[in-house]
Amino acid sequence: MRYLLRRLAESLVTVVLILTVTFFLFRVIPGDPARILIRGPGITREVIEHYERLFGLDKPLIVQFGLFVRETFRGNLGISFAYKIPVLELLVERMGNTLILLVPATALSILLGLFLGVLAAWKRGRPLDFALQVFSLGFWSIPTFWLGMILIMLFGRTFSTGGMITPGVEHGSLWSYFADLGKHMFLPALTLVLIMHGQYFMIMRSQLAEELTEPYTRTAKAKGLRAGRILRAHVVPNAMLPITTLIALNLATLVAGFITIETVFSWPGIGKLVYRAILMRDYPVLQGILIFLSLSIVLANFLADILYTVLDPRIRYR
Amino acid sequence: MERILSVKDLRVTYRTPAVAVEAVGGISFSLAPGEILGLAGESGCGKTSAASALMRILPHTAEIGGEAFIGGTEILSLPEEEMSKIRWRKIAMVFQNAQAALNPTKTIGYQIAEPLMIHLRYPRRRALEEAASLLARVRIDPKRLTDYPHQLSGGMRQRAVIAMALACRPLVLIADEPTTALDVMVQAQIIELLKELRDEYGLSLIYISHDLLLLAEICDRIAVMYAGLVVEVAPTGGLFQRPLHPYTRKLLGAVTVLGVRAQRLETIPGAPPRLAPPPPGCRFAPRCDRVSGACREGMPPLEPVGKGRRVACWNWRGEDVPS
Amino acid sequence: MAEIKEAFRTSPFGKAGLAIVGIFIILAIVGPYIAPYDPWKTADEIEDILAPPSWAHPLGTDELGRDILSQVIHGTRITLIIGLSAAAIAVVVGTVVGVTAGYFGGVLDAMLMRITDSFLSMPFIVLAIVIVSLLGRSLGNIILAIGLVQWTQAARITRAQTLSIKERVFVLRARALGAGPFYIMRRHILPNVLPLVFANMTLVTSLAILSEAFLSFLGLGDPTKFSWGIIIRYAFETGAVSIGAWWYFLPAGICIMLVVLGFSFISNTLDEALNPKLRRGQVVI
Repeated sequence: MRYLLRRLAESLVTVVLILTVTFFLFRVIPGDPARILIRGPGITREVIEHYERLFGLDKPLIVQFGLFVRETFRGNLGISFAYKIPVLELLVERMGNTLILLVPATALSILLGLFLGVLAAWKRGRPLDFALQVFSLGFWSIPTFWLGMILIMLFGRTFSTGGMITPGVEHGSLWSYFADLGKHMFLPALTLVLIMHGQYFMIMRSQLAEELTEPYTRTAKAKGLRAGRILRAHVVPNAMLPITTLIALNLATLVAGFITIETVFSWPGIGKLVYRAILMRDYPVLQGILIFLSLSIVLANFLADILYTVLDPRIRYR
Repeated sequence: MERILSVKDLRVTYRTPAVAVEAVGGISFSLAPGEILGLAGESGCGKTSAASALMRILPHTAEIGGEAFIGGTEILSLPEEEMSKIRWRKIAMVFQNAQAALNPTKTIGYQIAEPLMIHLRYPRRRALEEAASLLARVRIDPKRLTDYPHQLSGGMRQRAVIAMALACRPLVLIADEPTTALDVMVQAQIIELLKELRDEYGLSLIYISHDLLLLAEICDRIAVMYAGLVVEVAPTGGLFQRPLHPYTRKLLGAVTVLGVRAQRLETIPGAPPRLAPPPPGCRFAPRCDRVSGACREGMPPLEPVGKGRRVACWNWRGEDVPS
Repeated sequence: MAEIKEAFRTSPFGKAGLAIVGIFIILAIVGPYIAPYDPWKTADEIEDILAPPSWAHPLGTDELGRDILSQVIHGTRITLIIGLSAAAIAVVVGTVVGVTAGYFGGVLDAMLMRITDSFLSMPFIVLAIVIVSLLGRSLGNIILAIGLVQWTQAARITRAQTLSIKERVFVLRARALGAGPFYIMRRHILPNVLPLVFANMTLVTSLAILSEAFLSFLGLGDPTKFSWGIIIRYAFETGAVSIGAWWYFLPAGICIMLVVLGFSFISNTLDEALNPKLRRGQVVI
């Protein structure tokens, strides 16, 4: 319990620090610091004045920071230059699409990575381990968008590759809608799984390799358990404890993959939004996405720590 | 005489791409029903490798040679699948460090019950009931079934590990320094418990330790190992009254002259030889006070020298040469 | 040192990694002298536009008729410079933060670790995107941006190592003899963290090369240079995928993959050599 309170305090400090870094990054940079965030082309006078007042742009930097933190916690992330709507609205709308693609792809990557990682660690130093390492590390070394481009070139005619659903088609049933979605999702999801699983593979392999050297595995073998059962009942569950934390810790590294893959496949999610924001110099959107994703990752890490505490009896009974 | 376990020319070699290290160089011994055999020697002499070889729980880099029969079955050449049925049912082991030997995230009860569910196909409830009575037998409150290893004291953990080893009523139990980490009081309790269990279950026991005085308290016979080989086997009384091998004499000297248990065997001058490759001649020669020409030429065989005694020394009759 | 040599001697991955990285470093050095064409030279003939591989252009040409092979060869130097310099910045920053936090402990440690945590939670690619789009798309800014987002690992590793070293006898003795913190850090701590830092730098180099590719692909590469990422970006913009001009983006991607793989092989081999648990531990099942 005390551990969790400490983690909670730490997470809050982390949140404040993230906001600090973001705030000063966008304002201490050369150019017209304070105002670029609200003075997009084509935004009306009244809106600009409203936001100038809200964020206190005529006040000292420190007051501005206070107002920025307040507005952020209220969910006010500014207004998009390009779309002329509040950034949060835009993010919430796009996040759904990103999650449709990212959640199944990540889940599959984790399963595949963990499965192959168990195999490799078990056969460490033998041919199967070698082959799996070349396979998983090989894919890990490929830029996501490049694999996406190759898959489009090879299978673009079999599967749909632009957007989430075929434009202009009225879907009579939910079934035909999902079929269309699946056809669009297959290639981007495949790309993500092929590339992302490598990271989980490496985490699992090294974690399991350490776990396998623990003397209790020898006890399990001495008890007459077969290798499959030793892995399933003892080693993998124990290795999974730190792995929940490691998976959460590595969430930030997923972002590069899905941003570029959404760009390649024109998937209308957060990643596509980032791409557009870079092109249009839509700074409020970039700032909003940075804050939004960072805070999500802090939250995920905190939840993973809670899970770890609940699952590990060594901590639970302390 | 009937033998529950007989080991012939057991060898263990660890191979890495660079070197092959011989940890056990061909040892033979046997075990009568209900007998407690002590395996003595300094750390690194191959005691634990030999025991692990009998369980076939060595890493893949280890190569096992020789033969070992348990109740008529040769186990060293059994396919892995068959061997996993022998483990814990015919031959079980109590490990040195109970803390490390137990899975930290599973309850004591589960870990004791697990082999019952696997080998004897007990349903979970019955296995846990049996685990409770085993715990009671080793004088642990059966309520602690649901405890995790870190919640038990050191002595309790070691007794729990013993209960675990007894679950399937094995014929042979190997105890590998089961009391090293424990204080003297607890040590004595564990030894007492093992003796009781031997009588009750008709166990045959191999007790591994570097501590000869400890072995004297529990063993019927003692085999002394040096550098991967057995150099002397004798009934406990005989060994202590008249040790024949110079190495045994030194071990006993180290114990009795100083008279303190704390004095470890490492006090013998010189260090055990590195085993890759074995030096020619008697392996103990570099540290021996009785070296003669023969000692430099060949390792003496383990020969019978009297009632139930064997020794591997060219000069076991001779006197120490004052150095 | 002996363990590292031994690890590379016995590991095929270690050898392969050294070979791959070695070849590309040589290519980066001699590249501009052996490239068949000036990578910027456009074609005069219409049939040289987006031409598939031929004897004249072994890897074909782009939409301006420029030679792809020459672009890829020139790109080797740029890509490696970005990767290695960004990794150097990252490990220097990380080591300073980690050693300081580990050695001094207390409030300073807590503060530095919270800062590390916040950088770890911020998706580094978005952070780098923001830095580059605010500072401008130059080689230096790209290196800086990648270096400033990849230092967290080095900080965590060196902090942990510092914590364990500072309790060792030789450090305690030095401190008892009146040695100052900076003397101890330089003489005792740094030599012991450097192998780990070096192992981490090889991994960060591969991450930095990937990051550069991501930034370039999103339109944030230095437009005055050819890096492998930029070549793929141009191919994507031109629509090479839909017209099937595979020669345009395939070679640069393969190069990225090989170099990244090479550096990660080296990093893995170093890890195995430096992680005592993996080295000594034995698997019995």
